[in-house]
Amino acid sequence: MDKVILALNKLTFNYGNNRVLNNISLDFEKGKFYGVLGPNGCGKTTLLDIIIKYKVPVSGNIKIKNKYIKEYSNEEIAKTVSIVPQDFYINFPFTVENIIWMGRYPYIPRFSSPGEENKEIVDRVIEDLELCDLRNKLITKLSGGEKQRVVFARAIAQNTPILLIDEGTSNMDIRHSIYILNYVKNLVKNYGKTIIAVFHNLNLASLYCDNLVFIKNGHIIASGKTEKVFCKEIIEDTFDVKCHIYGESSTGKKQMIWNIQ
Amino acid sequence: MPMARKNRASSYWGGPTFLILFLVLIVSLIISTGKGYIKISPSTVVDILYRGIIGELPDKGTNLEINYYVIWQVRLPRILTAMVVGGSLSMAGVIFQAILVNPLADPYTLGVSAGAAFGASIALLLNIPFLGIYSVSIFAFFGALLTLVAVIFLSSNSGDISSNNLILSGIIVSAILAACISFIKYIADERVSVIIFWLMGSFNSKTWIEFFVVSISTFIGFLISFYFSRDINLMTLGDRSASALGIRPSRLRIILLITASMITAVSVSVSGIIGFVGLVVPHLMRFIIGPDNRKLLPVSTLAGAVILLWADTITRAFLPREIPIGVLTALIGGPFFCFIFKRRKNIGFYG
Ligand SMILES: Nc1ncnc2c1ncn2[C@@H]1O[C@H](COP(=O)(O)OP(=O)(O)O)[C@@H](O)[C@H]1O
Ligand SMILES: [Mg+2]
Repeated sequence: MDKVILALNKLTFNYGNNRVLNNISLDFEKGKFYGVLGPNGCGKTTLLDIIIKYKVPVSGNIKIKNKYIKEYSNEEIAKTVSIVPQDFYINFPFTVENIIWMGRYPYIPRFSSPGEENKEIVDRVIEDLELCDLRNKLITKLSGGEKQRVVFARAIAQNTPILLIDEGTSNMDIRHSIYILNYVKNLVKNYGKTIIAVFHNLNLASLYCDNLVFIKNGHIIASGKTEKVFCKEIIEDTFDVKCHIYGESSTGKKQMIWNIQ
Repeated sequence: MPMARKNRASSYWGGPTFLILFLVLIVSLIISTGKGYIKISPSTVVDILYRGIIGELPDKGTNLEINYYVIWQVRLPRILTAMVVGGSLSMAGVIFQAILVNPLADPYTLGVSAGAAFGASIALLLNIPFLGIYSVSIFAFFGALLTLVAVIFLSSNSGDISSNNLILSGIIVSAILAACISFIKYIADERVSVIIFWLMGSFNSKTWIEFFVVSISTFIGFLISFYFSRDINLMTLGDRSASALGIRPSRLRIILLITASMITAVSVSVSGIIGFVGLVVPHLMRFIIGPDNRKLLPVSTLAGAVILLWADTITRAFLPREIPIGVLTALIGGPFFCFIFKRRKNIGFYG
């Protein structure tokens, strides 16, 4: 029972009269990699927004580590959950290093100097995510994929037990996507972090996630272990497109291709 | 590259740039106080300033007494008011650009200036006497305040306020007010020149009272915005990320919006509409010390003070005929802004 780090209980959310999430209940366990899958506009981003306390549900509640998020202060939330957002447009010419430092703000009191240990964390994240060459560049001058890697690094520098990733590799080339997903997978294995990632690439989701959640129109279609729920019926039901599942690959993971008539 | 300095995150308020600007400001103040119809040498200015501070009056009937009077009664209130208004407009510019996440925003984007202009036009049109010489300023201030309330009301959406909504509401409200002002000018007959003159801004015959009023509002505004300066940096990442970093974006936006609008409203009420300072100075300073608001706020405030002090000195003491300060800042600031915008765009400073 206390393996559950994040519990969503009967969450409902509306935009005006438009019901976006309908009675969502889900438990997330510590030290697991979760994938969230579903068509555009099904409510994935809204769900993550509620978890970071950016949006407030009309009904239902959320517990993190057995404490209602209503009882968390803003600073506590910042030390518990971080997010790689879907949109990463940055309008002001901060350097890459400046941006990554922002991930450490919650740990540094206003007006005090950052201290050695924060510097080390920032340096390590920059090295780990292969951003050394970009370190002193202006964020406004980077390509989409490069920006996304920086925004990713910022969220990792925040070093929280729960990391939310909203299509966080959508603009990266395949090598960088795999590099970064390997990196966060490692955080799950070695540091017991919990990751909840929205994917559009189902095959990547199958390769990396321990569990998958399928959402459609604000409802959960299916959730469970990847090997169980990554199947033809559920995927076709969620996306309304025919597909074909093939092989146990060398990794033992299933993969899929769309079946277009 | 100015941006390439290491460990920038560790130093606040702008370090050397701040000190240099502070010295420039003091020197400018002394030089500019000596300029004008009666020329006074910098050493005499320093002597008179010192006497004034320690409260030692010069002997009666001397030349020094005349200069003392000119400096303490006429020039200083005007020069200091111009300085503080310059600082406050630049500071408000930094805040507006940051919270609207738009480098093209300025203190007037939300229609505060249009509201003040409308209030002032009404006071000038009706020639309202009951508040004495300050009636125009007071009307301008409340015009700005009402406009702000209207803009916030228009743009809020069940408690959330997005920067796009704010900018759009500001544009709409400004456009309506501009039409109202045109109408007032149309029916104002011979008073129209007074209205036009006020709208173009001036520091002519400013008194210590006006200086103290703008100083207090600028000081309070600075304390509030400097306190939040690090949080303002996070707004750059977008509301969602800022939220996950412990900020309440809508709340912060409202607090700073009101702060920046209040200091703008007070400045405009005192000196009329002075454009471009609040747009250009933050850009120029961002170019020099980078976009970190912890440094940008103090440094821009000082730079704005220096720039408006000199702009006012030019029109007061160097030009054959005084031209409205708002016209001067637009004439210098506009082309200058085009220049830095074009240059910096080429090397990617703007998105
Ligand atoms: N700010 C908003 N105002 C009104 N409706 C919104 C807003 N943001 C999202 N929606 C609606 O909510 C639904 C879910 O959006 P979202 O959670 O972003 O979907 P996605 O699963 O693609 O991330 C969509 O139908 C979208 O139209
Ligand atoms: Mg989304």
